[in-house]
Amino acid sequence: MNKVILLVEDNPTDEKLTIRAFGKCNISNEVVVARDGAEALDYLFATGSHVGRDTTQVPAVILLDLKLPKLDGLEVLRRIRADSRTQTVPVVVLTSSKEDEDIARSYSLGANAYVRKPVDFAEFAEAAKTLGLFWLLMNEPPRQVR
Amino acid sequence: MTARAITKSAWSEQTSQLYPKFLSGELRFSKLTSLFGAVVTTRAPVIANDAPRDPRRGGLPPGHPSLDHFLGLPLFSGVELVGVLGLANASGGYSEATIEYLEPMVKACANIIAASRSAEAKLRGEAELQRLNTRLEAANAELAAFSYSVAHDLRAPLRGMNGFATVLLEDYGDKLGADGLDCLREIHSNAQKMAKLIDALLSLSRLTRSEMRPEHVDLSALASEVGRELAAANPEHHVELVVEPELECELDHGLARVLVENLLANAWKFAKHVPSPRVEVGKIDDAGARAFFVRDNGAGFDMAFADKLFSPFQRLHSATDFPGTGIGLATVQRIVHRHGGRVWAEGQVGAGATFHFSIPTRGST
Repeated sequence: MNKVILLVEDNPTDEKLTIRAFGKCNISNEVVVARDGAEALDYLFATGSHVGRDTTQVPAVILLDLKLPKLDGLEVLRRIRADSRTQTVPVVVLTSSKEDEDIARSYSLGANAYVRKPVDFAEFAEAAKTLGLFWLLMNEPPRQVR
Repeated sequence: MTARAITKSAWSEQTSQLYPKFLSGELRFSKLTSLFGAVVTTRAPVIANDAPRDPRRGGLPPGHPSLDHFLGLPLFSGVELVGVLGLANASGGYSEATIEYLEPMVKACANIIAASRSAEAKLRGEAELQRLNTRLEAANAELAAFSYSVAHDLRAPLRGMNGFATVLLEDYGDKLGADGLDCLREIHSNAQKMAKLIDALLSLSRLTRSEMRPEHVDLSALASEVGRELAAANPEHHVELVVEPELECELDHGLARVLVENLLANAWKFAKHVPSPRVEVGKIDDAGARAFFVRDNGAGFDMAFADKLFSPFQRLHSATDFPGTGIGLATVQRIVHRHGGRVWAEGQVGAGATFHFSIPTRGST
């Protein structure tokens, strides 16, 4: 079974465009959308509305926006890396800004990549395609040790 | 005038009643037509040995002890009158000898007042500096928060507009016709333009917020390097670049590159369409101080608008002829100003432009 892509994104426009971009390049993995930081953690750790989910099923990749309601992206990232169940899951920060501070803090908290969402949709689709190919096909994640 | 000090010695019952009034700060002199006032207006000692009948007298407030003899002495700090010392009712009155006798004490009093005033002024200055600093810090924090919000929030709607215009093009392009497709292209290019403007604004604001570490910079090497990059990026136009050797300056390394890139890119942009484009980098003597320049033989500009050149988003040429965000020279000015320097431009329509900048060396101003 294909692993899911967890898209943490509060902006519905960006959500639609990201899913469309994946569709365009035939990435067929299920995309789970969390619309704020708290919901993302609920999904990952099977709490709140995701109680009972099997936490050994980790996403292939987490696409994480930084500016999110409730918990911001950097805090979500910190908690993902602090938990043994999710600490090796690839996290790609996918956000609007390219402020040096955002980039530096993302990497220092353990992000695997930082991608700025391009305004141009063709570029955006290309970025999604590259991300998908790399993290879903080329990258070898560590085997889950349990 | 407020009474700052009053002696209590050798007082009668009546004069003692003045003391609590003084302590409460109520002992004030507001009339200049009085014996005290005469000291202020003439800036000279006043001796009145027949005070009740002295023409300069201004009368006494109710309850004031009688004034028979009076001596008023001006207290000077340099040429500034900082106070008046008043004595009254010595038996036998006052004379020039009294003035001479009191001179050391008068000087001491004047010095004490002057010292106390300068200490107060210093304290006030420090408090004012502290207040301005706090305000500056708050303004900087607000600016940083504002930039953060611009970086994150302003681009998202553009992505939406651009993205869905593309969706329309991809999914319904065949139904739109030539005019419809043209409208979509307009939406697309305008969204792109705004995204570029936002990025330009952000990099401009980053310039003023970044840490700065001036060090020795080889401007000649930097200009040649940037020139090679520009030549590579504009292969269809050959621009001759002449860089004077040994141009050296004290600048923050990162900002120096941004400075040179913007000046040269500007020169390139305006020169590349003339028959033999040429860009020159060198130094001149500007009233004893060294100034660097970047000169081109391109489109030039009207000196009447020279002051607009360095304002963000002000353009002297149409965006069709010379595309750009209107932020390049504003960036140049900010970098030069942050180093305490000066930037100015000279030009003539059709005859090229010269941009000068001077940066003070460390240890001088």
